[in-house]
Amino acid sequence: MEQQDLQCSMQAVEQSCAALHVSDPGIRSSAEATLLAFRKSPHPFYACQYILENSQVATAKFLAAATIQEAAIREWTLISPEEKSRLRSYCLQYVMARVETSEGYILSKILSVVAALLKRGWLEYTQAEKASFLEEVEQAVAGRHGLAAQRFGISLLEALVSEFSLSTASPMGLPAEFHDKCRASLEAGYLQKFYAWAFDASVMVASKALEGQGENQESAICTVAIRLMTQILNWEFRGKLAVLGKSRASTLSSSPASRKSSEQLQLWHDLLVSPAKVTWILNFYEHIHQKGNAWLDLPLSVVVRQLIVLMCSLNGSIFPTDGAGTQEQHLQRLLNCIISWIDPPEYVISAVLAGTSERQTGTLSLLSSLTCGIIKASCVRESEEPSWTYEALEVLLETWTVILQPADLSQKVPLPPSGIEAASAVFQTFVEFEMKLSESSALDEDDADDMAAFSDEAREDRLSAVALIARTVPSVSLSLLTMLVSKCFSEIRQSLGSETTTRCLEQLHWLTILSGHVLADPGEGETPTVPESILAVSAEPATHPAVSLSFALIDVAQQSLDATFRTTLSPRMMEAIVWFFGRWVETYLMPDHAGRGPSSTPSGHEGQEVSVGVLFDGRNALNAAFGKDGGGPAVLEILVRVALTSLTAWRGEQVLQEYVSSRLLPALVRRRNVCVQLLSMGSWQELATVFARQDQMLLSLSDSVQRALSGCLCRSAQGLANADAANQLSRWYVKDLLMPMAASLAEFSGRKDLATFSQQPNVIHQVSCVLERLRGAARETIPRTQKAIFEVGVSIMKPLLVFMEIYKNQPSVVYLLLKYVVVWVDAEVVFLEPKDTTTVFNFCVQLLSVYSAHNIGKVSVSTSRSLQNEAQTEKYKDLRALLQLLTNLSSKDLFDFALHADENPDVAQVVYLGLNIITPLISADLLKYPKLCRQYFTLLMHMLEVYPEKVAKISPEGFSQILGTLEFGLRQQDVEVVNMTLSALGALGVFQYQALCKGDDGLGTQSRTSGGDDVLSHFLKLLMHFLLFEDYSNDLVEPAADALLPLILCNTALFEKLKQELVQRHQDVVSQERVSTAFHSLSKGIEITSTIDRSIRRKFRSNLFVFLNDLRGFLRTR
Amino acid sequence: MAMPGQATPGEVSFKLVIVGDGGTGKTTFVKRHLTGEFEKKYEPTMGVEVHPLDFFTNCGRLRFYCWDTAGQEKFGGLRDGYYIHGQCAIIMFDVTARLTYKNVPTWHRDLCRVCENIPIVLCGNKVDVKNRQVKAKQVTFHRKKNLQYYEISAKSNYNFEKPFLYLARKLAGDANLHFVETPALAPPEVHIDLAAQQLNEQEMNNAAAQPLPDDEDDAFD
Repeated sequence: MEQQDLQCSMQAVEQSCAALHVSDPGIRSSAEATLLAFRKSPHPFYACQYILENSQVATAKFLAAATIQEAAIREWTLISPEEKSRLRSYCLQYVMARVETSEGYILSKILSVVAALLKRGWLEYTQAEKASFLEEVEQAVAGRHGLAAQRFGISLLEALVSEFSLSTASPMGLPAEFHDKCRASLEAGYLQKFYAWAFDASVMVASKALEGQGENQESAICTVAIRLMTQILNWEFRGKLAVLGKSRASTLSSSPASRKSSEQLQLWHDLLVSPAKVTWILNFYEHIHQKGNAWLDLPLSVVVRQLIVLMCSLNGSIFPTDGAGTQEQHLQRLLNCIISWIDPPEYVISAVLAGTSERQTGTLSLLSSLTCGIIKASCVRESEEPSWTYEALEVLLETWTVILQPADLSQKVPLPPSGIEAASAVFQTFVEFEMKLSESSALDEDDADDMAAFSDEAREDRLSAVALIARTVPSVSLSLLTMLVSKCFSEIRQSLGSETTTRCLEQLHWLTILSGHVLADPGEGETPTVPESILAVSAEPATHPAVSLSFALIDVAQQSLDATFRTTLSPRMMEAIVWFFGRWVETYLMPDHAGRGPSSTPSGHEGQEVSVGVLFDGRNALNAAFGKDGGGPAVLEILVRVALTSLTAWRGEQVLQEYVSSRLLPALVRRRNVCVQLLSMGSWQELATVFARQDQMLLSLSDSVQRALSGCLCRSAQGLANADAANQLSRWYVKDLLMPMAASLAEFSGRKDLATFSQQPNVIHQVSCVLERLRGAARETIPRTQKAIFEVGVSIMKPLLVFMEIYKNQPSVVYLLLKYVVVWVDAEVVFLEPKDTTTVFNFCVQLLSVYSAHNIGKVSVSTSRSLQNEAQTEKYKDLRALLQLLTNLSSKDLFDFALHADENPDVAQVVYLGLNIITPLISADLLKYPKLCRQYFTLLMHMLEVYPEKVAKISPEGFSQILGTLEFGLRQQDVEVVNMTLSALGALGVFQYQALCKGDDGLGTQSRTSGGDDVLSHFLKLLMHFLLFEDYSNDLVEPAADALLPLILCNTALFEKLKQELVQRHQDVVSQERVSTAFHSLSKGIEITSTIDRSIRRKFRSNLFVFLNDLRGFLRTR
Repeated sequence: MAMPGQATPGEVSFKLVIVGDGGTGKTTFVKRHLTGEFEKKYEPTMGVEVHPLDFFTNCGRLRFYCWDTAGQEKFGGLRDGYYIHGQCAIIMFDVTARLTYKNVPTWHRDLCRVCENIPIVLCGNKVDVKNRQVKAKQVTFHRKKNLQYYEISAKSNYNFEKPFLYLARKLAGDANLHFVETPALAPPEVHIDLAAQQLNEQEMNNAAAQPLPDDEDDAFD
């Protein structure tokens, strides 16, 4: 290139770089485009070098460096070996010549370019080439070329390690296999050397580094060297060399190591755990430590601490198999030093982090006193978080958790007596501290609840960790809690209404929450059991600590039933109580397998005759207190009353009521044996009656509470007699619950003055309420209640259609109505007989027609652009409900496909109708909303897979709308959406291909767009481009293969043309050959028949994988 | 809009670079006061956008020029070219998408190469979503690299100012610096409806924050 041209392109780059900082986005984006074009230009190396040498603009030099990397990787196969090595040495010389003058980030960038170039050619170089290059680096790192060179030598190694590490590798347009080979090569042959060099370098400069203020050249060298060491220790070692595994999972397997790797192990051992090396590092930090606070935050101190942490985490077979003797010595060596740094407390965090893998008795006591110390310290310092005490406590509790609950349970060892003492001390200190905190915060005016929102999780973690500690000493912890609960409660009763009450309530609130955590685990999908350690406590029923604590809280709950006393309790307190019992019930109340187990004593008389002196096992004590034949029913009665009272006597306390309806009640109706008991109880019947007669008291509850309550009541039907009569009984029970409400809907809809009557606020409210309740009931449908819920649903079909019409201007009612139908259809559709199916389908069609009559055109592309106003929001939600409804309806086919093909009404017809209604409402803009998008494509995929012939008959506008959305779907980020789009495309392709083979019409005129293009050809081009040139997840290759095959078969001529185009893009024969071969492999072994069976699909999938492997990286980087 | 380098004299301002995979919510985060929609639409950022964000501290006004970079290779090519002269940074990942966390090391490495020793905050976004893929306990990267970590929810403003406060303290070298006003809301065009929506959303979020099943959209999630 001419001097002048070089000058020109430099100026262009410089100007664009400057323009990047201009505020006008237009100028900025055109500058961006220029720079990107420069990076993509062929063979830009001379231009880049020119810029690097002559430009005064740092950003331009930076971009030139980036361009060298990008272009070299892109044109790798076209560059001669000489050119490659010239580029590499150019970069290195550039750095060496400018270490003193150039900006650090430019030099780092260039070093990373060198690293990338080295890696790209790594598998091509001979051992000798690599060795000679690295020897030079070693010289530099050893300081033979001066301090500056030493520093950048280490930086180069850092860049290399980073480039070779899988998690930070740069993309090179090559298969993952390449990266993995490079990683393995570095791991086996070089990492150890690098570590040794870095260690030696830091030893060399250490004493100078400690002079002055930690800002000299030596200190910088020392920092990078140690950073490189930590980087190497953080490397994810694989295979036999997983010796440095930081987690227990990645330790070396017991398979016999080869001689080579055992030599390696020995070398690593000498480097990392030999006393001399470890002691040097510890002494080095000791010196830094003595320098005082000013040094603590220096990068050097940070990396040395980091290194020590990593040394503590060493694990696995780097330690010889000498019964952990060496490891123990190693840890002791570290710990001795670390403990000396713990005072003053600023060092606590890093020190304890370092101690995590240590498990000696002495450490537990240390851990305990540290934890207690931190807890106390956080009392004193009332600064705003995030304070160091907060973080320290978090780390300490995590340490406790690791010790008490190791990931590998076989490693769990019983705590020694000193450990038990240590745990008790921590728990007591924690409780003491929190009690004080609750007391002092009780009278705070500012409500901290705002921030409680998501920090719930943090609090939850903390409580669980403390609960784990408490459970190791159940007798101590449960008794302490019982004592405090009783004390607080009796103070509350004595000091009604004073400030003391507020304080005690706050404390009791906290105690209740903590008790819940200690006593029981959150169920969350599993059946929680009583914690083992609690079960292991032997005591008589009356004195078992878990029983005492439970009864202390049952006592509080029971008192809340008292109307006068209730006024003393805060809603917040009630929330805690209800939360506690929601959790407690599942673990303790009438457990299913009560009394079984090896240690149970014979029941009945014998049990009572056992002399008082004999101790009960914990299980028996709990059974006697809360079992079905023990105190269980009495406790249940109290809890149902608490639930009822909380719903009715605490009006407007939304949170409390949601806790009742979504925690306590569901916990009660979850198990059959509890339901049996419930249904025989007066209190439950009372609740059911109040509910069924639409008592105002319950009608005022919020929507979600209505649904949950209704669902729980219906669900309790599972407790009805377990005989043949059960179904009939359940049917009556559910109808008794729901029919009165259905009847009132029917009555409303029949009124002559409906038009005015229906618009009264209280009527709207009642209708909404009933809809919510029916939805709740439908959602909780179980086989034995299905019939009843279906009948109730059928009885209100007519009224619902009337309401759909009459409430057309009340979007919220319309929405509730749709949601109810959605849930109801979903619950019922699998069970329906053909006759019933017809009823449901007809109803849905009517509903859809009424809806569309009022709503078509209300949501349109132009107005939905931002969905700002509420009406649009409602429509969006409606649309989602409708999509869901259609999907639910179409799923009917999946259940009955083979069974009643003739009798069943045509599902396709219904869904087709629905699609006709919905398609005009869908716009690309609406599809940007992820949830709606997924639903839409779910439905579309299903329709195209099952009823392509129906879809083909949809109106031309509708059809092109659908095609438009398919194209949109292909461009989505959401893998699932792309996946569904591909399935839909594939289905369309298969349909057309089969029609072609049979000589049918297929898509007919639909297959041509208004421009006359063939629709499927368009998608073939699109898909090929997508596969070869765009970014997508590997998971998409299979579905893409399934879509691609039929599209190719539909238009083989076009496919051939596309292939030729790709071949022609290359000038050289080698590249052309490569493209042709790849295409050949794609069609290898594919027999063309009129059906595309599974074996062909499978074959094509694997062909496509090979094809893309061969071609994608190659095409994309050209 | 003034940009760094052209800042008015006397004004304290810093260049803040926000990086992270596409779709992690970087734009939503910096524009968080303008989002009032009930379900956020996803529109990828092209290239880079610069937003000035003001905070009022006990030491006076402080401005962060937030360089919101495009996460996707597809959309914006310059990447680390934008980091130059960055004085502090936020690395964002999405706790509901594991891959975005796996890519954090790369973002961090690229940042550190260009900006040595700047304060960096790691943010796990979308903690409001129930289906988390990356649990708080699994986030360990910040410990390895001495970063500050915050769980945030750009959608609901949860912990919105925390990263800024941390960075401000580090940059000012004053551990006691604090904000004296809630962060300044961004410029005009906040539509009145949007404001109402925002209120709605706030309420919805408050309700959603309660550990209860999602009753509103149960059938659709």
